Amino acid sequence: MNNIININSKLGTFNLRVNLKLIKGINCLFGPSGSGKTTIINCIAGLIKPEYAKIKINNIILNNTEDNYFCPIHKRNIGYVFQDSRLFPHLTVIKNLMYGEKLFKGEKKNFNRNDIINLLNLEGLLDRYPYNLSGGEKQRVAIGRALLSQPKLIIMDEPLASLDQEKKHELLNYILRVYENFNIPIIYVSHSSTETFLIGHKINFISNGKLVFQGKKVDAFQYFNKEYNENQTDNLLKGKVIKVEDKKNITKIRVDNFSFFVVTKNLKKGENVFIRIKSTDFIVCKFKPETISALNLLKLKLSDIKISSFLVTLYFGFNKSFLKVSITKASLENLKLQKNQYYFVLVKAININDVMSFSLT
Amino acid sequence: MINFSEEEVTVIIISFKIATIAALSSLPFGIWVGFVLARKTFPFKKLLISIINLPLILPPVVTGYLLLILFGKNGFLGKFLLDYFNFSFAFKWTGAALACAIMGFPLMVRSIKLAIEMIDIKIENAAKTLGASPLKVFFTITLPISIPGIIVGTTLSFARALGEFGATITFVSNIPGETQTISAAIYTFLQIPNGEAMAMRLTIISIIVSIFAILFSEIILEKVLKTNKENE
Repeated sequence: MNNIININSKLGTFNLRVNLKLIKGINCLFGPSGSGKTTIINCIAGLIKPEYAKIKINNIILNNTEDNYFCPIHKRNIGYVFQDSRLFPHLTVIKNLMYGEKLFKGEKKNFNRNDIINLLNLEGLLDRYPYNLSGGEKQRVAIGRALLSQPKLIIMDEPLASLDQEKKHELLNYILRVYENFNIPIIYVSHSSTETFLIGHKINFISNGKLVFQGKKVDAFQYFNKEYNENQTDNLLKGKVIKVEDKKNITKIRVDNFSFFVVTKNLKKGENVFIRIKSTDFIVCKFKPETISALNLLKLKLSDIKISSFLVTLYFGFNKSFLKVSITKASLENLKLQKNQYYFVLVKAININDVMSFSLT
Repeated sequence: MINFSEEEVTVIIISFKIATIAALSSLPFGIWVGFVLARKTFPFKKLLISIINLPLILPPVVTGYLLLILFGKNGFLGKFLLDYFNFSFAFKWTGAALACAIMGFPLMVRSIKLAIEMIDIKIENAAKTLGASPLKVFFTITLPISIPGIIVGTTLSFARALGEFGATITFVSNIPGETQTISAAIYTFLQIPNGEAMAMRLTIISIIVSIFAILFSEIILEKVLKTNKENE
């Protein structure tokens, strides 16, 4: 597959300068809101005409400013799954699905309608109108509709953004199934670290309109925790489910030398998971609290304190890395915390709800 | 039931013929102008909007007079049509339809423009990513979604045409059997001694006709809204 995605464009005061390489697999664009992720994919899909671009997908040039060539959207043959699904309100599900299929003039060899209806479990929805569908159903139809237009590449822009945690899981599995069955290159845009690491084969970090890192999942995970996440409030941990207690409604997850209790459904013993814990969700204690409802209590060594204008970030030694905990300046003064001392760090199981299972492939 | 006289039947048929032709023949232009005004930006757009809305504000007599100047046998456009196409609007029912179409045009454009403005352009972009050309997008997405607005616009134009009097009588006069509509006939009866009874008959007929016209359009609109379940 020969792909070039080279965009250099100024949008107001925002400068976009990226040079992406796609692999055959799920390519994630990861970065905070406003970093330029959506602008990049809109340039690829042709929804935006950048100042300078050279975009080539599957050996077909879509945009080359040097030759003054810009392929219109409808001739690009790129499937686009939008954050807000954008189904056609006046058409039933089946007519939505067939919209792009009918317009495709070539041989429809890759994506068969019945296969897709089965794969995405759309059988029971076909005669309904979009307003009668739930958020997850809408996105499944949108994915099916995009696939049936027989695309060379699928772009997904935060497809899980409007769904709750449980539905996110479900849809992610559908997306993985689509990839496994059809082996089509996918660009997946997200600002969620768990989602990105769960689904991505190659991860591209976008920051301020620039590509700051690209690499395979393993390398990207290291980069994320060592450098990228420096100024973010997330802790992204990789763990394994070791105990599921359905009656108590909790699941125990081991992260190297430590373990966490989390509240989440649908996890099985032995599954690999990503857990995201916000640094602001922790509580720090000087002494060991005796009777307390919080299920997670860790004794950790404080290795660094960083004071920003707004919050104080404490870096506790955690496995071979750090656990970030944010507290206020007032708490820092009250507790008189000191480096290289051991403290107790607490987090409620209920607060750890961003847990996603992933396969190691 | 009222027993219609031959004259009354003629008047009713002419009224309906004029109003129907006026509304239907201006519909393609109404959709086009509505779309352009809703979506495009161009210099003097506000001026164009003002000109389109002019018949709403001008005294109908003035509109009729302007039409007479333009399309009369010696008018600039009227002479051209007569010389090259052997066609004339002057003193013909087609002229009345033209006058009615122009009087109803601002109402038609207004509701079509509103309907098109309501459509999320993102939906159209989604259609493009699925391979639809701009023309295809217009006919498969934009037009079907704005059908309720188009129906309302057409009904308003039709209703306006049924009631139109000033511009029509000024432009194509009041010729029985050709340009005499219900309103013109009522006016005529009120001008002759003992004509009130006839005028009253026509008045009642026009009330009934109007109510049926509005009911009819309401029923169609409801049906469309039911199948076009986008109002969510």
